[in-house]
Amino acid sequence: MIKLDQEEATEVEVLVDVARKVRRRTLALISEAGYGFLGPCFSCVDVIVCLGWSAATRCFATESNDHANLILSKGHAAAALYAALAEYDGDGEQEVYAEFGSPLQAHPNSARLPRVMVSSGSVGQAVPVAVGVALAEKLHGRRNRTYVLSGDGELQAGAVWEALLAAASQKPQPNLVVIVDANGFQSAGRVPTLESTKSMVETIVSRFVEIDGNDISQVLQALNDFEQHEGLGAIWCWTRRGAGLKGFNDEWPMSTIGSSELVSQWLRDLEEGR
Amino acid sequence: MSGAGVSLPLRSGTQFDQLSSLLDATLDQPDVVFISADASGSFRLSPQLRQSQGKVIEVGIAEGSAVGIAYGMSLRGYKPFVVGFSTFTVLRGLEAIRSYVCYHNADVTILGGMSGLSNSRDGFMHQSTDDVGILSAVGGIRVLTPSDQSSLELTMREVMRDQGPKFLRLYRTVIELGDDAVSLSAWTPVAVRLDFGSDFAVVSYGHVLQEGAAAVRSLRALGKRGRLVEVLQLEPLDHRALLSAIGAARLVISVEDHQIKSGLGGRLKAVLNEQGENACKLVSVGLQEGQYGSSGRLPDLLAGCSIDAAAIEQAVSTASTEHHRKNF
Repeated sequence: MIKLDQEEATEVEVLVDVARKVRRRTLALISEAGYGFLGPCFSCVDVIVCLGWSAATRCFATESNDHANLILSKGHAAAALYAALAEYDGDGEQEVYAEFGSPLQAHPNSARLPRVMVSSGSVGQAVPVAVGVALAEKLHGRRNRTYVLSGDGELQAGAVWEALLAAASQKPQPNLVVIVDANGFQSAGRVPTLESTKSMVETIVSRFVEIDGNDISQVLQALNDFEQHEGLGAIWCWTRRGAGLKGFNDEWPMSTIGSSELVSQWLRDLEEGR
Repeated sequence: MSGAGVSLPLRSGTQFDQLSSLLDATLDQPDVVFISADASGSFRLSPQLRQSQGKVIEVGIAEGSAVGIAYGMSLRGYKPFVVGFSTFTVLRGLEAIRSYVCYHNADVTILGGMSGLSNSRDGFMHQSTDDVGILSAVGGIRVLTPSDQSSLELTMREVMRDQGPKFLRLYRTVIELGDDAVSLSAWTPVAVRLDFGSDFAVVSYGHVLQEGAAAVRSLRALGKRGRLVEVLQLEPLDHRALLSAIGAARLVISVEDHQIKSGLGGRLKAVLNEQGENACKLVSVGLQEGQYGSSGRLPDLLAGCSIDAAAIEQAVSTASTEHHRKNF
């Protein structure tokens, strides 16, 4: 049982409510577009919210450059990132998702939406970019961390390992933290490589923790911890696909959205915080 | 075993030896960094450069990631150079080149060493004979192909000035065009390097420009007076500058150690076709579709692939005879 002080407890309460609002916005984006990936978006909402809002990381801050960087490598969770940014920026009306001409491309495109730091979508490819950003921050003499949010299936891509080995071999290591959204699923079904890739990550990085990635208090505590340590690290987040959507289960196909009745029910649930 | 009487083979210099002092000039430019894919030794990065804190970042045998890492550093204000074998960097790094560097118009330069057939002894897997075609298919990246010291120096100056994606095609060989070659004094995408007349024009780039120079000189002795045109920038190709350099020549020979179709030969064909009825005759010397290199000493390999001075002379002679027959 994690013990929180009053300030931390308040931050958890606030972010639990923010995560609910972000989930509602994410569902609205995807259902209005009739396109998107509910499972992998909802599994990582809590992590995105903690990275964006927490006092430790403040990844969404725009007023200075001393905050942490967030790079969403699992680009198919773009709708969750867009929803979180819109919530943070207080945007009343969101752009449409994955429609022609919209800055909210199905996978993040920083050329169309500069608020997103790095384009992604081709799984694995944004991890080397994150290594480059973290190396640059180190060379500039800045202490801020770079967090790269990766999927568990994504860890099958070779670019991830080339990049992590390159980062691990630097002296000093860049301040890079890989966050793995381990929801256990990839496009073709269950991820068969979970245990292998987990142990590979654990072997390469200097600091490794395993948490429940849908428990905001655990995510916050991990981020606070990593902000105190230099070098290459990883937070392995066990998450649930479609977390926060009642009735969403392991059999749900990756890009299926659900009936309009079900979506309406989910929207009501999220509105009322059920 | 005693070394008496046994002379070690001389190791010829590489274009990176020529480049070394130019790269050292970046020591006082803190924004310039080199991302090396296990290539800082092979490519003769100087001890000063390698020992300068944070200047050379060795990422190991990871060309695909080296390009992505370079792009990431460019997002935070650095001007990164990726150092690696041309073929591995282009083939393995292509996705990052396309989706990050080119699409986002990033100031990332790839120093592609051992290009063409210049890495002759290592065989086809190490030789880069389709890099220009692959990169031009992606688009949005300047493909620069310097040859001798003067063209290399001017190209490097251009690279330092430019803020977009760039690929430098570099070679294992040191390139010298001879004392009678025109030394370049200002950057230009196309240049006439030897000018004995306009009977024909040999158009080439990179280290095989030497073969072109030798052929142009030999043919002059036989009474055929031609010119040697160097293409310093293959992509995008400056059509007007190229046509101006070819001038009044009615016979053009393209020469390259690259696939003809996706290289200079294919481009020249398109450029000359635009001239309609006024188009001059084109003969392309280079690798045919499906032809790859192999191991061998460079002169043997170039001769075996018919990309040497003798093959160029033969091409000019044959084409001139055909032209003569047609007109009389």
